[in-house]
Amino acid sequence: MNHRMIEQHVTDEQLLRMRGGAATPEEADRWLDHIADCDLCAQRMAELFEEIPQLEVTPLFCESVWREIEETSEQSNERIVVSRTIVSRTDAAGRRSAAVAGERRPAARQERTPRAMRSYPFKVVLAACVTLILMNAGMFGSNGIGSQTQRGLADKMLESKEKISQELKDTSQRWSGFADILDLTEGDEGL
Amino acid sequence: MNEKGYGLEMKEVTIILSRDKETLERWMKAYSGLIFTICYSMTGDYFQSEDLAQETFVSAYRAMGSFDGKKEKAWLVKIASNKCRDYLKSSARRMVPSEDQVFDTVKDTSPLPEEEVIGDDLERRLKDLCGSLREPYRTVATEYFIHRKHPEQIARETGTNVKTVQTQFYRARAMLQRLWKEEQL
Repeated sequence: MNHRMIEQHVTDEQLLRMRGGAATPEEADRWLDHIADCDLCAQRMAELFEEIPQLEVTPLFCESVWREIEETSEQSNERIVVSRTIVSRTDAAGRRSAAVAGERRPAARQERTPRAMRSYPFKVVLAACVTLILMNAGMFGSNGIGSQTQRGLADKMLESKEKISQELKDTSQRWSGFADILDLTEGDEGL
Repeated sequence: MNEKGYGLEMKEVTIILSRDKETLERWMKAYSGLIFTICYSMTGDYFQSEDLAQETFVSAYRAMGSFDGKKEKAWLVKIASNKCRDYLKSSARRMVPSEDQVFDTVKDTSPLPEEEVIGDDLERRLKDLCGSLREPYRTVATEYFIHRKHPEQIARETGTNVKTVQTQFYRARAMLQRLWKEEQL
């Protein structure tokens, strides 16, 4: 139940004023706003309007309704076909998965793809400009971000290299000890 | 599973669609007059109210999945009320009334007798408007709006091609709609 339902129901007198075409535009707007959300008032409105002679619809009324339904469903089908075509074109460039994306992604999202593609060169140019500015500002020089990062990486690599070499040294010493023992035992057997 | 993921088979979809079509046919048969009358009372424009009534049924067909199956008449009236309200708002935005029109509106707030709004007065007005058209539109409009004849029947009776009559009818309707609006201003 929303705020409009909390408002007072439309009275019979007000409905009769609407039926007689006597309600002011403001009144009609307010009452119709309520009726559009209220089952009780809509039911009562229907009952009151059924009491008076009703207008007869023209012979093509139903046909026009069906034509409108068919036309709009055809348009929505065309929209789906167009958006699927767009997606499969982008898929050919190796960017999207066509069939599934075409069916599940909303049409509005798919129609935005060409615009995104148009803005791509602009983004590339912007990135190039930013890079040039940073280079000119000395960010990639000896005191820049890049050199600092490289220095940090080199220190870490040096530390790990020293560790590895130390471990290798220890291992080789251990193995040489084993080898000496083995040589002694083999010598005893030979004797 | 279908593309929306509802897991409906094609056969089930076909059954639902045909059931919805039958329901809409029944509603149009039972309530088109009521909805048309409501729209006419709200707008005072015969041709616009016919369009609004048609839009009501189109919207009802599209929203049939969300309808709980109870109080179909009230549900249709709610849709029609929504359509009328939107139309009145948009037409109010389009029209900037002159000083005289504002005073005319103020004078006009007393309740009108319903027979002046709906009924004989409407038929007389439609006859006058149809009579004001030039041939062949006058004949087609009179036969359609006053004698309620289908374009195919008019074509048979006048010995004209059905397509020609249909074209004449659509042009005649557009002319009448414009004349109606001019009279209202």
